[in-house]
Amino acid sequence: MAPSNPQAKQAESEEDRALIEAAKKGDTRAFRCLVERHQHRAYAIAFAMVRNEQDARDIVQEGFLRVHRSLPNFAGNAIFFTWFYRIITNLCIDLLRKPGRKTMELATLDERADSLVPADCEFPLLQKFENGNPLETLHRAQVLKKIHDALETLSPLHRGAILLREVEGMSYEEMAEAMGVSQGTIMSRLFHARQKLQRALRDFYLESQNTNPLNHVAGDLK
Amino acid sequence: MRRPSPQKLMAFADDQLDSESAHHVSQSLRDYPEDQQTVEAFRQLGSFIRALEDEQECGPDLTNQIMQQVESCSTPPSKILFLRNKRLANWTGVSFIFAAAASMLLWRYSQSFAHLAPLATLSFSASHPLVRPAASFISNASLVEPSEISTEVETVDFGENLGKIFYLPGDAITTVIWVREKGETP
Repeated sequence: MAPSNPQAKQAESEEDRALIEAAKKGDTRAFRCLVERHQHRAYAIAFAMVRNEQDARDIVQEGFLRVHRSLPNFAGNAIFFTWFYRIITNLCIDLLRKPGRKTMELATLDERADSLVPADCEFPLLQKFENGNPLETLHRAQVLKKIHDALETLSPLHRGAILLREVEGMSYEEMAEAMGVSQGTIMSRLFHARQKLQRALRDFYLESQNTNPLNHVAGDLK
Repeated sequence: MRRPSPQKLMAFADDQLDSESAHHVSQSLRDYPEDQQTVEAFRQLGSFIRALEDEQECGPDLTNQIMQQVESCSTPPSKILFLRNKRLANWTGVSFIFAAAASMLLWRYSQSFAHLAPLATLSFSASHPLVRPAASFISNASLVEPSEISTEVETVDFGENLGKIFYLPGDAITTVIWVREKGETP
């Protein structure tokens, strides 16, 4: 997982820069080190977007090849991981746009999802979690499974946005740069993705409440 | 105080607001406790997603495959730059040489044809496949040279056959080469 605090991110960025400078001079070990540092995170993002292991592997490999080819043009003051994730994101989008691919259409789904969500949405899940202590009644694995399933239903761009934010810990600005869109678009994607995930969790919670009589007892005791 | 929008609450939960906006939101959370729960819901969801990612496998190790591809299909970037510059220099040099050679040829041709203008020179080479192999049969050739035009014939060899070259006058001079088959009567 990516470092979450700004100091750690800054340190990582500095190390990346040093490795790139060495790789520019033909140091293969430095480039190998870059690959080792970023391949798993790149794979996670690629897999989150394309939902196919082989495609994700191909995208990561192609991404690093492009990085290697473009090293002479890489500006020293740029941040490597936003640049690299932009390459990965673009490769994913290119793949998803290929004709004949059985996936949700990127642009239409994204726009439709954005336009359907009301502005004054609610996030009622937490209240019930806090008051009803749901972690006692719901198995953690079930919750995670539900989140996993809900993530599957998101569009690739929404899923990518969630992963970049929650797993990579990117700021909105970095995400906008990595995905090649405005910060407003990033916020919109994040918001709607989270709303959809929350809905899935809420439904799951309500369903569990109705099917498990112990939950009602636990709720009454509260 | 104006109630912050859900998107602003999300940005607050993500620590993505500037200090002034963040201060405003934190003030409003006191007046609207349900917004506090919304903020917590955003954070809690994030922790679930991170937990989910932690539990998933970290993906295949592609280091060796990537490095093999990198090493097989490319040279070090510094060398690429050097080669690119060298290639540019080579192409520039070759282009210059071609341009110079073309200029020389044009100049030579203009010099050699200057005294013949406007008529062209008819010239046969002994190395031409039609006129090989025997210079000894040159005697068999019979040339009819026009008297009023300036024409050079270097070598003519029709082999064992007899041959003639005709110049047909007109608006433009037409050259006809007549070679008799063996045994054909003149």
